[in-house]
Amino acid sequence: MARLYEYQGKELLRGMGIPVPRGRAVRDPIQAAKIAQEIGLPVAIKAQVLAGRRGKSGGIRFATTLEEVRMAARALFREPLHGIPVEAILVEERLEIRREIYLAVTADPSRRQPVVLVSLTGGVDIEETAAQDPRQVLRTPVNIREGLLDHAARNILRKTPGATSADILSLAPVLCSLYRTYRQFDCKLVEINPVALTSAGPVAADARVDIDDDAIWRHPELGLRMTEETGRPPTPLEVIAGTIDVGDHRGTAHFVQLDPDGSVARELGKIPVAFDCVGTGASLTTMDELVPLGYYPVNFADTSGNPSASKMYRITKVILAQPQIQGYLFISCISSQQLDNTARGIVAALKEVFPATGGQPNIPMLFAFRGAYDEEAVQVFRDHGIAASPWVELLGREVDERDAALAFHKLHRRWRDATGSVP
Amino acid sequence: MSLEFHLLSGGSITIHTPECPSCESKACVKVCAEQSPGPVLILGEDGRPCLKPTLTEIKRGVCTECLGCLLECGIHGNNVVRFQAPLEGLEAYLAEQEAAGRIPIYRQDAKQVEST
Ligand code: SF4
Ligand code: SF4
Repeated sequence: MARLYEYQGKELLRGMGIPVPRGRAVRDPIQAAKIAQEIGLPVAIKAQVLAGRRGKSGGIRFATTLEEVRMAARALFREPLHGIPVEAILVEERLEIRREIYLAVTADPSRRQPVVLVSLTGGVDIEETAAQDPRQVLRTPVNIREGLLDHAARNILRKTPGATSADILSLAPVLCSLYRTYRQFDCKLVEINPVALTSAGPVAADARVDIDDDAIWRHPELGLRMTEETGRPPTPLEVIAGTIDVGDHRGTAHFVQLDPDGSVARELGKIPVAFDCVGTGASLTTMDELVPLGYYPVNFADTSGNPSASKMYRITKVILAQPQIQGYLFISCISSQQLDNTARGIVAALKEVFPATGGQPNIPMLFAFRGAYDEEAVQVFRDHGIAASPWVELLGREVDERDAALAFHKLHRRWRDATGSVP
Repeated sequence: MSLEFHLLSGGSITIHTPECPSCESKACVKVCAEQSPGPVLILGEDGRPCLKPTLTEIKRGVCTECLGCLLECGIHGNNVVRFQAPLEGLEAYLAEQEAAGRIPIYRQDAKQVEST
């Protein structure tokens, strides 16, 4: 899922005819003051990070003078929000809000239909409201072939508890445009929380737009990069890994850095290792076994669904490019994935990154091939001389995740003792 | 003279075929014959591998990108198969890391295995 920043979401909504506050995203306090001067005081200054509850965490400030704008902007850029550095802030007109409404369109997987969500008690506490009294949030499925026409939007609003005639008339066009946004941009979620009811009519005071990953290629106009959803901006390696699945549907290559600079491993006194699994279950259980033994997987990777060898080659190069790693594990779950192809991709990558040794690595590496063509996979490693490396351990379907972790531990200790490498 | 074909992933395979007539193994053709949906590489009358499907079919995914031809030619043939795969930004990333002193382990001491 690719989540847009608030300012990007608002741009999209503006283009679809939904009123949004006047404002602009900026990257320094001087620009912030300039924009505030242009649009007029008072203004709201909002940290642009992909996290919720910004208001309650100090990520949204208000200013009535240009000096206050500069001070607020400086403060927002200085402090990470929910651990995420703030790289942009949105400076926009401060709205005189009479009431706050919640509007959203999302997919209902159980119905396989879009569903429109409306609540007249919008605002930051919408989740609590929905949990405490689900009747406050009206859910209405939409027939995707018919779309959401004006009369249907009015009917939805009419059924919303507490809605007045004025609400129905002013919000129906917003709801229709929101639904069109959802469809036109292949969204998983479009949400305005809140729609601010002002004297000038409804205005989108916030915007959340999540685009379906699989549809990103259909929207080059959005300039999105295909990366995993992590709640923080993607790392450069994640951006590179995100290109691997583009245009090639054969299997998947998911890659997320859990500890991009190795600082977490260092802090915990653990040994940073790189990691790739076939199947998330095998991945999680192996991680669980590795951590108590003193290792910290600095990335998560899942290469499943029978990826081509060329996909394996590319993701392996990305995984090994993490500078801080002191070992690598590849563990497959027992599945129908054709593991000889998987092995060829890994071997091709190893030969390229360790050319002086014909692919034999200089750090401990463990490969547990379990599943279809697992013996052939091991044979590929033998044929290419990589199995002969003292720092390579090859295992088959006779082992479980704990055995694999223990075997890696033994291998790592042997490597450390022989090379004098200090973890 | 080379045989070049483009792949679904955006990469390409190039075979420097002038070296092929002298190759006894024809390992590329043998490994490719085992691939489903059928071989991409077949042996031509001149002793060089040639393509069975069209370039368009290959680009649509008939070549499964198993990399068998690349690896088998490397050990049983004359090592004349080259594979290119797009990984936009990786080289620039590595250069940036190296400039900042964060060198990937495999570039730190590639001969470590030999010295131990
Ligand atoms: S194995 Fe290599 S050298 Fe031999 S025919 Fe095939 S491509 Fe040519
Ligand atoms: S990559 Fe595999 S399928 Fe494609 S030409 Fe080479 S051996 Fe044949």
